[in-house]
Amino acid sequence: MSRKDLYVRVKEAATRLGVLKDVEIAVDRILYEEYEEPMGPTPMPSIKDLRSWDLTLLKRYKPFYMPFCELCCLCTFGKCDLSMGKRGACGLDMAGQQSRIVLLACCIGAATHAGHAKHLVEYLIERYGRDCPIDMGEGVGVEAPITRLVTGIRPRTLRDLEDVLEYVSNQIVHLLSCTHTGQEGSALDFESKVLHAGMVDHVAMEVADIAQISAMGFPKSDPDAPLVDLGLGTIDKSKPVIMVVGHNVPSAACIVDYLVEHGLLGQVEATGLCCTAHDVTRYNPKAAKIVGPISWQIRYIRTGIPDVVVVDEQCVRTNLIEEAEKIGAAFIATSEKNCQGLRDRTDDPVDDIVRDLIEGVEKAVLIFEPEKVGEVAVRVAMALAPKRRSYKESKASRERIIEYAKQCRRCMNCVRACPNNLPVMDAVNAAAKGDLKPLAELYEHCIGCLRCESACIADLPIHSLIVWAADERFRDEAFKVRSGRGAIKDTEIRAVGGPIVFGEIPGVVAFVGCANYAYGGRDIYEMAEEFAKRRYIVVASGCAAMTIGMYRDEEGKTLYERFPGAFDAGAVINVGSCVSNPHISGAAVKIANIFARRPLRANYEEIADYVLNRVGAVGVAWGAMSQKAASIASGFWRLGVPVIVGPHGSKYRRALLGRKDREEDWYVYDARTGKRVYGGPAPEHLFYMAENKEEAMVMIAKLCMRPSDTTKGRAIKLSHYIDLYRRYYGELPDDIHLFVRTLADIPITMKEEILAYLKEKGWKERPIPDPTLLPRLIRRRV
Amino acid sequence: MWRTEPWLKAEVPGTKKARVLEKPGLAASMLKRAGRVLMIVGHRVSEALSSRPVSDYVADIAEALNAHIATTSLAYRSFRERGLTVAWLSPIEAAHRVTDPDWMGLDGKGCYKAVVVMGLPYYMSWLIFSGLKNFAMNVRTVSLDRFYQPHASWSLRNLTTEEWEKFLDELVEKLKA
Repeated sequence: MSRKDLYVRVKEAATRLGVLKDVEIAVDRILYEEYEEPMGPTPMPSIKDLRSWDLTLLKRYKPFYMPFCELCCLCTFGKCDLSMGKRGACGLDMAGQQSRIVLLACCIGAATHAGHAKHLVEYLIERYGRDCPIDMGEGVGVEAPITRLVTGIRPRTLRDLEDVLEYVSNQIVHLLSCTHTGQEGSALDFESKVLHAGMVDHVAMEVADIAQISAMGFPKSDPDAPLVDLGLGTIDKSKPVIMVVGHNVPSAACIVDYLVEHGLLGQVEATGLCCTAHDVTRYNPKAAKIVGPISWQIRYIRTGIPDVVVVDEQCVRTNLIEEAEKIGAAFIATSEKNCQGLRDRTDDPVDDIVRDLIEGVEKAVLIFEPEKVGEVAVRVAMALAPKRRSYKESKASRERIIEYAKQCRRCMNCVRACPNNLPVMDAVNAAAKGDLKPLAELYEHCIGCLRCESACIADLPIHSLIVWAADERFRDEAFKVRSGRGAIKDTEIRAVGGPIVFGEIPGVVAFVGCANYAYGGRDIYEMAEEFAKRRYIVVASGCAAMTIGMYRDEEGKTLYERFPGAFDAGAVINVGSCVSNPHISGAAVKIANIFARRPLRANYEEIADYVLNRVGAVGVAWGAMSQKAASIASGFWRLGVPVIVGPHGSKYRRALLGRKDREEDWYVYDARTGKRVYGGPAPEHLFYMAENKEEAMVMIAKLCMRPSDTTKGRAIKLSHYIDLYRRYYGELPDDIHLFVRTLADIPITMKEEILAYLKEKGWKERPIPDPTLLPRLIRRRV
Repeated sequence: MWRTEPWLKAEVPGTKKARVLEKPGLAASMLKRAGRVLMIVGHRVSEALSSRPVSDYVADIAEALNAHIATTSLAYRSFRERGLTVAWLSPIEAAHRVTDPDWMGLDGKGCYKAVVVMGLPYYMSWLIFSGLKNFAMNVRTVSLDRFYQPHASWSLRNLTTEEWEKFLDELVEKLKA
């Protein structure tokens, strides 16, 4: 469609060149509208434009590859064995191949968010018009920090977001093309492209979230966003129940709309999992409930409680359609990315679709129009619920579990298929003898992948046995999570920017990502609680934000009920769904821009340099699973924010690790003098896999240190690092001398002990730099 | 056959698989000949076997071989108390350093000739061995966990807990002899 912003028609005009007749001038779009900030050096950067920044990072944080597969089967030259120094037929070596696969994963992740954003923006434009304003709420002047930073565009309306997405799409096409046979050959250049993919992914996510916040009335940067219900125990199963799963909210929102418009609110339960659940409760916190993270999909559907299952896109278990059929629930697919082989009923009359689903003529349908999905889902749920009562009764009888357990053939396949190596067979055999406790204990650690069932030669419903054994716990899950608040206000940034940069607020810790936990969800709850108590700013998004709400303290309160939701020390904040992650990276960007007054517009390198050297932020993706999580993490890395993943994160096959033992790696420019000075290993790593919770806690505290910390700030950060280390390992860490720059850095309560240690190490005072890795930012050369 | 397959069924390796350490005596003599040894140790060494925790075996092996230990597990304290050379170093970080031929080890006296891994989640060991196999080709790698690790140079078979305990008992005995 042509969108002309300027149209001039001249019938006749006399000029110095001659007489013009019937001249028409049309300007399609003025992309770079002038606003108060001048354009920076890298508007809409291409792959090459930030390469030098990437190589600067990668020189310090070197990739360590752990090949998840030693072969390459991407072209017909292969399969090629790349192991132990061999090259493939195309010439690529193992490091190149591993980084290529990482790039492929990040392209998938970025494309997924970009596709999500594109669909969402198109839908919202259709519904609210191109001129629907971008409105992130009171106190937010910088509405789209990542978009402004990367593209130089200040989006004012939904139509501006289309331009932004065009840039994103172009970049993803170029990046993906680099993975073709016979293109890039350098592992480091693949890594640079990974960082580029991550950066454009953050743009795509930001577009998606600011569009839905602006148009759909989600909480607008609201620290007091309402608390919403979380857990199976909050659902009234006597009512018709709709289950939504996925990430793209329009269909779920239309279900809620239909309930509201037809006076059915309170009569039908709208429940959800994964990010669609986050977003539908942001849309209407009273009309919807969150069941749990992605790993709750199967355990929820197998309760038989949902009458209708509605799926959209991303992280949806791909055989939910079969699971829905087993419980007699209707199934509605709503996204062209996930059609499930179904007949498209979008153009059929609603009455016909409803009738077919109720009468079982079709058990599953595909409907692309969200409004139609809303009506069909509600009407079908209301009609099916009375007929499905028997499905909703608990199947968790002790006798039934024992009867199944006795059929176990002790082949051990369940254990060898379980990603967490859980002692499934022993638990099943204990159940066969009447002891259900070992089976119930697996509940906390089970990620609901069903690999055990797939492998079982006796076809036992092993996952169901685990959930039935823990039936009481599962059915009593009733918690509160604060609805996703969206962005951080500029006013909040002004208040905390100084304390964060100077180190007096010891850090911002972001718990993000999926629920592929190696040891259950309690770890991430305990980490969030620990750092909130220590007055770090704790932020969360996606499934991680749900998980940290699924545990209570001794007073029965969840973290969201105990800690405030404002961006300040000691807060626990839910920013929202996966696409809300740029509010976290955006907060770091805003600190550089609003607090430190660094130019924002198209000025990526300088802002990233600022964040890396001054903003003590760290991401923790404890259960990261997806390609999206990979690209989200890479967007944080390029911006200078380190990320820690849990043990399963090692399957991303590449770490980005600093070497604190190599002094030469940690020199920075002092922007005041131009001298190269030792800045210390801060942050020590960019992408780190922790093996256990204790290690992660120590590393979180450590990775919050930055070369620019003031002495007071460094003392505070060191005291947390040392305190946590000593709690778990019983002594002082052996690298304090690398982080103490002056005597004033030493935490006062530990002074004598640390001084003795420093003496032993031959420590000498050194200056605190005004750190930068960019020579062009040196203000004066000495 | 299943004894020498990857324990997690999907963790299929490439074209070269670990040789199996059948007998504790052979394992002991191989380790004794290996030169400087780094043990990369995970938190699962805190699990108890019938007579003592796995971390005790780690300490015995390290002591006998004069090996160094990299760990972030809570067993760190017990290793320190035993007077062993131990660093708080994550498994991935430790493996990364091993790939650097210029790294002089935890004591600054030279690079390691062999790496022994124990007590990590299976898939994490699998990946670390894969990293070392491909990027530290001169370093011999050994898995002493009870599950077959195809990317190691040498690995135990998939064993029952009882078989594993017996193997470790005999290994320690031979190393001390």
